[in-house]
Amino acid sequence: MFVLVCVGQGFVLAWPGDAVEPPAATPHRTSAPASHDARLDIAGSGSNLPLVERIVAEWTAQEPGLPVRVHPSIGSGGAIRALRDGAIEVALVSRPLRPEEARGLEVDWYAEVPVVAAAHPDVPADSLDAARLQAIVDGREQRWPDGSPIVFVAREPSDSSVAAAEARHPALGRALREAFASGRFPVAYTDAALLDALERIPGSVGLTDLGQVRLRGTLRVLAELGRKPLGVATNGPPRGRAARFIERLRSPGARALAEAAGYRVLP
Amino acid sequence: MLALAASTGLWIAVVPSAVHHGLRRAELRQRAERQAELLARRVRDLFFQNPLLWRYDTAKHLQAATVERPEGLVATRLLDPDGATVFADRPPAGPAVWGSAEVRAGGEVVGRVEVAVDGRPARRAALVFHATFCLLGAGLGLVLYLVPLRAVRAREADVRSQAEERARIARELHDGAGQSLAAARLHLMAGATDAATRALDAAADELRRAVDELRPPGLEGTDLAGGLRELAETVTGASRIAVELELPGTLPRLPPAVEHAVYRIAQEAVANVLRHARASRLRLALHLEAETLELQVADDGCGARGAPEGRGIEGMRERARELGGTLTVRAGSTRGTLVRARIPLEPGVP
Repeated sequence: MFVLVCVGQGFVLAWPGDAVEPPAATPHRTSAPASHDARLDIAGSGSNLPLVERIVAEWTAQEPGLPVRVHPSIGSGGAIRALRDGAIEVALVSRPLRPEEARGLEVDWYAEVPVVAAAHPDVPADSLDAARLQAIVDGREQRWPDGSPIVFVAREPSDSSVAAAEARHPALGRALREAFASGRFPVAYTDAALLDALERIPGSVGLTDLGQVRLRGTLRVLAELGRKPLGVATNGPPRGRAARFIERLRSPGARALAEAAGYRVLP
Repeated sequence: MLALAASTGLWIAVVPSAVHHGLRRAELRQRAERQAELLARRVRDLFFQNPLLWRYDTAKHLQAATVERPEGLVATRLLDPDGATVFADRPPAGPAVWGSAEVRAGGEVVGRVEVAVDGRPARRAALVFHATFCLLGAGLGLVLYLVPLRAVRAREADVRSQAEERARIARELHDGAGQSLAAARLHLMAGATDAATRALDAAADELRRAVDELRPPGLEGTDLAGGLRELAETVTGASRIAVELELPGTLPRLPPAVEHAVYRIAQEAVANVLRHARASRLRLALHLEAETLELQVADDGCGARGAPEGRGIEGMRERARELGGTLTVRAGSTRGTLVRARIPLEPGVP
């Protein structure tokens, strides 16, 4: 028999045993083991990683034994949470932060990078505008000019490249979100996974940033669809090795490397 | 009786829908556990890719599952081995069924994924099921209550009627034969034998009249076969209708209630023929089978297909039904009507 169950400030009709709330209340905690005191842990969005990994590699080459570790991608949001938990000292972000995310953090926006449609090196096309990409995402266009199939590799809607493309091309952004929800396309949940897929799958195309494409050096760029900022965040003003890392990031050598890869370095 | 009807109705209203809902919930729980297992594998892969910070990369994977909504998935949660929440979607807005799966990496439990699937479709189906069975239960409960109630009331009416009849006969005997006998006693005491004789004769007349009244009307001093013969003769004498009478070779005495009812049905059917049928032929037939007595009254009159049944037919049908029998009226559109009454007889009768 049905019973009235109180949910929030209202009531719903439910059978006895219907769970309208999670089964057990538990304290919310996202903390991971705190990072080692002696090591500088850096983590964040995949858009930052290729550039940061190179800079850190040069840094550790100059100072062997320097305890710095760049972790695999955990996304901008994951990096902010890890920074707040004290699991890392430097968070790499590639999208504007929401007010609640930015509270108490010091963010240095060090570069901007174009968001591009990148494709497998063998695709028979040199360019692709936003309207055509939208037709591909909608499923209206399914073949390249030579008749070979187009394989669109999607990203999750919270990805910073999707957000940047949507800011400039709202209709394309909506199509990208719908395509993800429809399940029609394979989905890559990290930049690295997307780039791997684009290298591996003939006829594939997807959204990423120019810096990663240039640094990887194997993919074809078909269109620029927007720009996204790259930044490093710390809990308050950077200190110690975190401050030294940001100095390296701002160094003339790093600047040259970034500009060569298509990044626009910000003052 | 009311308790039996109510409990039966309640049982039908509640038990099947509860069982149905239980099965649906079990199915939803299986779905939720299947999805939790798939997500746990995805989270385990993240653990191996990034053992230190894997938990910070789980949100988008778990949120993506909620967007994709496989098998009605509406919410996900990730708990660490201590039960603390690592990630949690907003709680589902309506009823949900939860399932969970452990995240195991290298033989160690590193977390638990909990998944909620939408319980609203199951609830809607249960509502429909429940409403249907509530109606069914209420209907059956009503039938279980009303049918015996009607039988009890009919029996009460019989008993009341018999009691009234006894009272009437007692009154008749008291006021008639009783008074005459009392008068005869007084005359005898006074030595007035002639007056006493007259009073005794009057008492005898009163008793005979009372006994005659106890017999079914129309069957005074005769049996069913005799009554039907007299009925056939009456019709022949009073009309130009040719009457054919068909009776069993030997007809034993049947229970008075059966003889009375069959005779009354025959009387009513014949009266209908005389009143409405404009018939030239009438056939009265009585068949005695192993456990059934069948009366047929057929005519070649104008028929009455489609005409509403009057009180006469309703009364005949009621008489047959009171004895557990049936009565059918088959009327041709332009010609002839057949009334057939079938009355069951107790084994051994005849």
